Amino acid sequence: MQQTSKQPTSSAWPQWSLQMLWRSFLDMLPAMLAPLVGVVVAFGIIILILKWQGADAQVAWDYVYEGSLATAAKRADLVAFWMPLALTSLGLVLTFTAGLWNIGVEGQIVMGAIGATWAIRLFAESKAPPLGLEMGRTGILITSFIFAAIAGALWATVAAVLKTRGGVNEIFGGVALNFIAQTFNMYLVSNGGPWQPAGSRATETARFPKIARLPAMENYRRLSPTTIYMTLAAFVVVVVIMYISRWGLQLRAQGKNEKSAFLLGVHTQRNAIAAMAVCGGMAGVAGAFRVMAPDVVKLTATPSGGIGFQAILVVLLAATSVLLVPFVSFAFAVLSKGGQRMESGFQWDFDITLDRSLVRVLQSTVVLMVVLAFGVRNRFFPPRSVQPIPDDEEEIDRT
Amino acid sequence: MFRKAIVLSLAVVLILSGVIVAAPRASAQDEITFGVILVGPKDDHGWSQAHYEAGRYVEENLPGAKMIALESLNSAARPETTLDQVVEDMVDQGAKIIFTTSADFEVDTSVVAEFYPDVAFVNISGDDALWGIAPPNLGNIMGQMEYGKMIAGCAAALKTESGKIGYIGPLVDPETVRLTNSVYLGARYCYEHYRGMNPDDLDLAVTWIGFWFNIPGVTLDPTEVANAFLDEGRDVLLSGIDTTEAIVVASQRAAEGETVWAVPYDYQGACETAPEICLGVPYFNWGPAYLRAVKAVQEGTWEASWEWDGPDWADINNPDTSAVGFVYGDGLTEDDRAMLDEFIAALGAGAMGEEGGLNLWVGPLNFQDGSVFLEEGETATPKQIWYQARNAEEAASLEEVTPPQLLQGVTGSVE
Repeated sequence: MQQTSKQPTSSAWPQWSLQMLWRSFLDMLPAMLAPLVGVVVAFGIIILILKWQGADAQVAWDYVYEGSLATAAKRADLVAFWMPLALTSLGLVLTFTAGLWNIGVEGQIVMGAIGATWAIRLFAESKAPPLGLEMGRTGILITSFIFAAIAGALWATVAAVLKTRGGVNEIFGGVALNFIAQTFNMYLVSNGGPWQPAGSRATETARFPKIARLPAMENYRRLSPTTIYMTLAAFVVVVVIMYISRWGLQLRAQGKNEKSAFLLGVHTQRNAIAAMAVCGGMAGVAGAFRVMAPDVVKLTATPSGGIGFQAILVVLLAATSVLLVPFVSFAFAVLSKGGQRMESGFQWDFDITLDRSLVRVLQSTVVLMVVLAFGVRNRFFPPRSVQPIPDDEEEIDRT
Repeated sequence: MFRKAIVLSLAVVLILSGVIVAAPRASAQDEITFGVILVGPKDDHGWSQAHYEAGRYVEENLPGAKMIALESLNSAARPETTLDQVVEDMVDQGAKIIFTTSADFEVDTSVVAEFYPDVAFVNISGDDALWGIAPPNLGNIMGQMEYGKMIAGCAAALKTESGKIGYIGPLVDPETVRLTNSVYLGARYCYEHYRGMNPDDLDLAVTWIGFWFNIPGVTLDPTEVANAFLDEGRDVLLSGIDTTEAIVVASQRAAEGETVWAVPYDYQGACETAPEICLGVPYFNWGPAYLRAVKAVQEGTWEASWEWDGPDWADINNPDTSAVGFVYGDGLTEDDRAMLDEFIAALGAGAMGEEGGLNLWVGPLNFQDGSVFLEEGETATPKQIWYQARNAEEAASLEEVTPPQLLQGVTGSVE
């Protein structure tokens, strides 16, 4: 690996002729068209469903806009939902690149939420914090994020070790761990569980004390700028990993072909565990975002509520590209927030009941159609890089 | 293509003009918008649907009233939104009173209510207003479902052959424990007095699924709980959850030739799922209470209060006066109905304090752990019934009230 990739690809540049340029454009065309076709088909399906339910598609679009982007308050709520989704998706880029289907990300978010709540209980709510650590607000918030990251990372490591040592596919391990995390969460906050306050009837912990709440923006009480800064930092880190670091290159290599990567000297098992742990840590912090959000400030019955699964769709749609993740997760957030307004708008103004899952259907259809479009492309217009042409060796290495 | 565009724009114009024409007409009258926030689907044939129908009832009975409802507000179904955001949307739409219809909204409602002091909030089934800890614009409404559940327990006791009945409970809290104990008291009474059996032989088991309805991967699956009960030989299933799994499973097993019965819950029409095996349904009729509240807000006379509305004993199924009712199901024979009529009349007489009336909240009653709930001859106070705790009356604050407990004789645990 190291030896071949040292050869600079730029040496191939002078050989490029106009013909090759045209050829590569033809190669690129299906790749560019595939997602477009997929999105168009998905929206076509949704418009048909809307028509069938008696709803005007134009009006539907107006509602989506109104519910997500129209006013500053809506944009603030949109960003508040977007940040944990984007952060989780960024983490998933690492595992998906390494060929690991981290379905367990949902449970990692839940464990992160639990970890953050635990830190808050230990250091902010308890009268005698461990080690006599009396922390201020900043200290408590940082500790909560660290606890969340560790909890998420540990949970991901379990899935990773189950795979590398136990031979349990990470998909099956992840599904099981999701269930365990969610059940544990329910145990904590329901039926008089240890974290449910006495006399409470809601399935949740008590509201966190003021000292353990993320600072909210002055004019938007539900949005915390902290989540924006942290997600931005995570984006930079993942970009560096994917495009600059050697580790990113190794992840790509083992994602393409684990055996070859291993034979070329990549520590595939160690990388797998590390990628899962980093992803789990980020998902855990996303879980902390969820419970520490200024309009939540408590551990709820389902702190994630499926944003881990949404993040999986995001990364699939973004074709595991870290640069696309912000846009795709933004689009998903718009559809989620706008979809809810679309539903209530038709209900309140026209007395039309749309199916609640319409937005989820839309999101899934887009992903399905895009993946299908890529599949069709690979089947009928295979890109040259998957064809065994000897003089393209550099390109194979690069991707 | 062109034609399509013309049709589309015509449709938009039509709809818009409809809105424009409709708007001034409505505002000419005394218009009032009220919000209803549901924890489950509005067509769940259970808890949430009962609230949705109550909103419809207000719209029908109060000219100019308009409901805006949002169903399925829970973090599993709508991870992207919170009660705070929904309330803001509703207030933007002009809502003057908002009903939050779940125990799960209780804390958030009291927080959000402070942001909107000019909007009235009613948390259904909550008790903030009882302790004076709620903001002045937050009240509570609940129906006295104890009676409905006693009738349900009685119907089950009349029908069971095995003497074993199963109760699918949601989660443990004072309300759900209160209702489970009510079923038990009603069932014991009828097993003894109408069947002539030993009430100690009656076995009522409860399994808590963990939430108000099934969330796959989060709660126990009520379908599995129901099947497990039937496998144990329990031949009557009672539902304490928001949805209809008990009657669905019972009807499937009945179709396989078993003799089993079900008593659903919450929604008047819940028996429709499988009428032939339904013994009846204790249901909430929220309409009258909603109507009173919305009217009061409209007239400017609304004041936050803690309201616990009982049945209209003259006719517990009167849609305009009774907060709690019981519809007989096709599974009951004429004899069964006659006995239930008698039982209901006795409960009504007891509730109204008439001579010879029946009050099942009279000691001696013990809790599962052996502690005394009510001494011999002692009658429970409303607070003791609400919290299923002996010290509820003298407790100075909510925190001091001991956790609710099941009555001695009920199989199951509140742990």
